[in-house]
Amino acid sequence: MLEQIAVLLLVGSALFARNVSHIRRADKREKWILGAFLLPILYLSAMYITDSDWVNLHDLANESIGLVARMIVGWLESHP
Amino acid sequence: MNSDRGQTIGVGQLATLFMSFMTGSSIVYVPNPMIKFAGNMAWFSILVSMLLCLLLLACVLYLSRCYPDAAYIDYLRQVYGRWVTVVVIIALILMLYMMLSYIILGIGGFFVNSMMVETPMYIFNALSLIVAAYIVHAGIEVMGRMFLPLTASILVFIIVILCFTAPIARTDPLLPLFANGMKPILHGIYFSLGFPFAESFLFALILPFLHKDRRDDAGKWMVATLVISGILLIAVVIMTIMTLGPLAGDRKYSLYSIAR
Repeated sequence: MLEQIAVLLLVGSALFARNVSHIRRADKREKWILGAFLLPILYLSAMYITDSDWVNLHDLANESIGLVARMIVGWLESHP
Repeated sequence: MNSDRGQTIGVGQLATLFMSFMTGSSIVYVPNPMIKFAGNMAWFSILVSMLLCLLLLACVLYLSRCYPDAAYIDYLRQVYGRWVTVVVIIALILMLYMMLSYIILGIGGFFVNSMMVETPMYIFNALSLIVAAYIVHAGIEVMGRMFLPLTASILVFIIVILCFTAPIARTDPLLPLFANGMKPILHGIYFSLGFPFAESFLFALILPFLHKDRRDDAGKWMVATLVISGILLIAVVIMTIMTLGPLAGDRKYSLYSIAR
């Protein structure tokens, strides 16, 4: 777990450090939008650190369009 | 962060970005699953996908000509209204997040599975993400200039690999044609249309950055780039089938396998 936290902190600081000054100068609407992006980042970070199998985007895609995709692939793989 | 407002790229740089986008990942990842789905007719599936992608590209270029100075979101809003645009853009953002994560995972998986087996995957994932983020920070002009030598080296190495594997290639595995009917070919088309060809619509987001004087030439450069990317992919698939034979569908990272 400590390893994952260290990786997350290093990558996070490398990715977002340059944005800090920009966020400070941003208007309220932009701050809210960036805050909205922060929520899934925190959720996925928690998932990574705890090595959990929580609901994520992959599950959302599977449940929404996965059924149609499986039907198409099933038909394509079936023999005539 | 560098703002992209005011930054422009030339039509050659656009073509370079497009070539890198279409060929960069797909040349390594696409041949193996294509051959698994479509067998020795995988090259035909890619050809059909490429032709279908030309239709998609025609739509992208037409919209770009109708709304030359508007961003993708702006003309989406003008055509469909605000709320449909919001739904489409949310779906697009989610798709881009998934695509990003699969590409990053693919890069890490390639290095871990084929070269550096004991290195943790997060090293490659983290480095890829950080490099990508800094390139985006630098802006599209820097991106356009930077990708020229990278794309040129990709093309050179692909051609060198194909030339060196030509002496050991055999034509027997390519035959017979249409042995299992049309369904495997359709399966291959379904796969290759998803990645990489249909993703070319994302260049609707990049076209507004094209320099105003060169916008008339964008169409022919992008079509030529798409055709070259398709031909390269077809060549790699054919060479994989001709060199690896029955193992072509089993060996992951086909171009790397035939290079080895």
